[in-house]
Amino acid sequence: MIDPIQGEIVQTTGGIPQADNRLPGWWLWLFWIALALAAGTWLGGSAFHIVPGPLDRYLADRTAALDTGGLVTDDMLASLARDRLAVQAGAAAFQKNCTRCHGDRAEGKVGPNLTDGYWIGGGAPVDIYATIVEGRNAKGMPPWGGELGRGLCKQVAAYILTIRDQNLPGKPPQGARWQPEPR
Amino acid sequence: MAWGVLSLAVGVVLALELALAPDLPPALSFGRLRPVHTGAAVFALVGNLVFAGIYWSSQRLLKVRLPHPRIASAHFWLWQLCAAAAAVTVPLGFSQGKELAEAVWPIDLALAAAWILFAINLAAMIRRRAEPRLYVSIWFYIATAIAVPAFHLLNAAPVFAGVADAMVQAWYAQAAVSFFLVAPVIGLVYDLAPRAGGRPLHSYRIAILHFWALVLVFGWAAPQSLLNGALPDWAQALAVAAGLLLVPLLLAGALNGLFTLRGTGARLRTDPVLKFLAAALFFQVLWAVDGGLLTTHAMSALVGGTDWRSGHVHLAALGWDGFMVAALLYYLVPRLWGTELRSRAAAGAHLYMATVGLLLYVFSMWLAGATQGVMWRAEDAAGRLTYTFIETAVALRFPVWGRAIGGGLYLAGFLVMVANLALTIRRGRAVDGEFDAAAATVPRERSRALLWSRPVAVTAAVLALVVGAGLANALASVGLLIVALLLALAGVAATVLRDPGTPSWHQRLETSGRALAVLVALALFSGAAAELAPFLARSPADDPSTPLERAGREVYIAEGCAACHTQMIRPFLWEVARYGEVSSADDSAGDRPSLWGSRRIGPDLARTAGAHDADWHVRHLIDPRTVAFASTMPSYRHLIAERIAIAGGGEASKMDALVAYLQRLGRSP
Repeated sequence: MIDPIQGEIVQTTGGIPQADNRLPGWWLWLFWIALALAAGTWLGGSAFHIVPGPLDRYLADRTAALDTGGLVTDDMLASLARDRLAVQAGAAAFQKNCTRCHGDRAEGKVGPNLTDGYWIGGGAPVDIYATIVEGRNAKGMPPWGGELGRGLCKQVAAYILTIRDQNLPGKPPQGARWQPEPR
Repeated sequence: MAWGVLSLAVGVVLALELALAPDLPPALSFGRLRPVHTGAAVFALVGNLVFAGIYWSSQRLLKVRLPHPRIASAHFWLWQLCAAAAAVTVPLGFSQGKELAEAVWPIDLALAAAWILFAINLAAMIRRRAEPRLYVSIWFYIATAIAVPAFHLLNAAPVFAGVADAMVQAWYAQAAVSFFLVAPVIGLVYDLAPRAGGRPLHSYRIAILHFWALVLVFGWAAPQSLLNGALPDWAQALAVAAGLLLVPLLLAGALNGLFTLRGTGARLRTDPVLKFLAAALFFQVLWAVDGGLLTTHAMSALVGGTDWRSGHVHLAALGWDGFMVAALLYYLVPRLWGTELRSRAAAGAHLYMATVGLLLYVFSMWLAGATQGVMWRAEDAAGRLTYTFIETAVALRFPVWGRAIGGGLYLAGFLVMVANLALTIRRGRAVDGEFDAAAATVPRERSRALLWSRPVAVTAAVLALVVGAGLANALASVGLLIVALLLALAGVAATVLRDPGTPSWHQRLETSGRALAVLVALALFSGAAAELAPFLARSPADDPSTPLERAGREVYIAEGCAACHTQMIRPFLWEVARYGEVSSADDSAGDRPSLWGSRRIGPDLARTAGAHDADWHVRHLIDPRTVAFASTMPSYRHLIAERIAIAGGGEASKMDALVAYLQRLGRSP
């Protein structure tokens, strides 16, 4: 049986005759595009991490915002150290860039132990920050301000503020003991 | 025609009252009333459409009379009772606090019982049928009867907390939309479009693709309502991927319906049934495209929590389901009462009122959503937020009026239809429908042979490869996905290249209701298991709140605060500037139920503790306008006098409890 509009009727079920037409060609293109986008979403995001997830993107935005922020003070870095996400970002940057010299747990290797209370370049939050940004060329520590950006350096400093004074067994103390001045 | 069908057709008219009542009493607050509106629209109005339609359609497609009219009648009355009970108890403050499932557990159980009554009849019709094969509509009905009750019960179980509960709620909401608002109504289109048009179905093969694609893909998109929330990246990526795939798949089904109407010629301009059908399919396409947009991270970032979602869901509820309600009623009522429709002109007027009303509604909400989304993120040169929350709400006064007028026009159109149908009924007499119910025994395939077959094996292998790709490392996952794609193509090729003389595997599958049901259940639950299992495996955390704070949480749920307030600060600088640090899954780990919420008619409350003192909160709750100019929040003066029992003895004013709860939100335990 042939219907003039729908073409051949292939079957009748439940009293309803059915043709068997294909979808238009443009639909197939749409389908392949959607399939490619779906696969791309998965592979680009969860598999290869080319496209950052919402939280990672936020952390990057935030670091960029810190980058352009004005004056750095002890209070500002101390409050950053109470911020879970800032510390998380700082810790990630530390693991990537700093462990070669300072050890996986910052217990010290070529560079000094960062988990004790002793500091070569001063232990005030702004001093730690300045050490990271400018480096200590004389001691072999490179400046990180250019490579990481000021925002990330602040977060690394914030991370270090959260791990110091734990006294992990590692390299013996170097530099001077630092304690906050009583208010 | 069986009396059960007749009573259900009347039930649709009864349900209209339930659906429309919520707009009337202004004394009841929005938070308590919103569930009545959503519940009545989804479960009373569309529910009665779905059940009436399925009972009517299945008898004809299966060529069998309703086997258990009394059970159908019991199903009908139990369903109306549940709808009425929910509509009364939720405004009285009995609420579970879960979206689209606010009614308390006794009603949950009664609803489950109603589903069983429905399933008994559907299964009996399939078993006793005189038609050898199951038509595509029946597949969709089977999927509905399996999916909705299963996720209803999972969601009703009070065992999940925090992010796990948020995921279960999302899956339930997705099941309610896809297998209640969409799938069974698609089934009705597959029956009504060829029948009312008097034309053959456009394509059998598109129907197969459409059905299995929806059963396999729809659920995976569930977390899209939680995009940018405290959900792992992989779950969000899955939701986006599935949501994007759904767009062409839903479009394919809508095209199948629209192309079936080809050749109906002049009747498409005069017959109200065909006109409403075509418009409903058009709005489904619009809804699908809008859904594809909303499922992207960028769009969700811009309009998440705004009125945009309101526009989106009404596109489905009013545009798709509402128009299908009209199409089915304009078709059924004259036939059930053996007469002609009283006025075709009135039906035409209804179509215009409904279309204009709907478009006004939806465009208003898109405008409102985009406006508010842009205002929420606006910042000045110094990096400060430009607008207070109240200012962003005040900016919406024009679109909000657009919504009211559009909704009113739609309602007026609906009343025109009710009057038209009432007059039609008055001039006719109820008649039994006529159709061939031949008592033939039909040859059936054995379900085991159908299940242990190549297509099932290929599909299972492809799915296993895709899930494997999700678990494997990056490089291996590409390989697995490529193998999956090749295998799928080979499977399709093998099906295409078969001998055209013999019945295909799918044609054989259609002779076994049992095999079909097993495959639908497998497809649905394997997806749910793969996506939900990683969450459900976590043991729920303890709730660290004090008894008074916990009582305040009950007040928060009973008053429906979550209808307007989220507790989920998303990872954007402008949200952190407004509400505080980004929410993490740990913040709400002990929450039972999860109260992340989906709408921000008012500001987010995830870290509201300490933002104001207790005195401010009490003044604000008594009369919001005294402290927040132009706020749209209702007064909660009545909480002062009402008492609530505190766990461990004693009682307190509900006001004190609620304020105590608000003052712990965002404080670390």
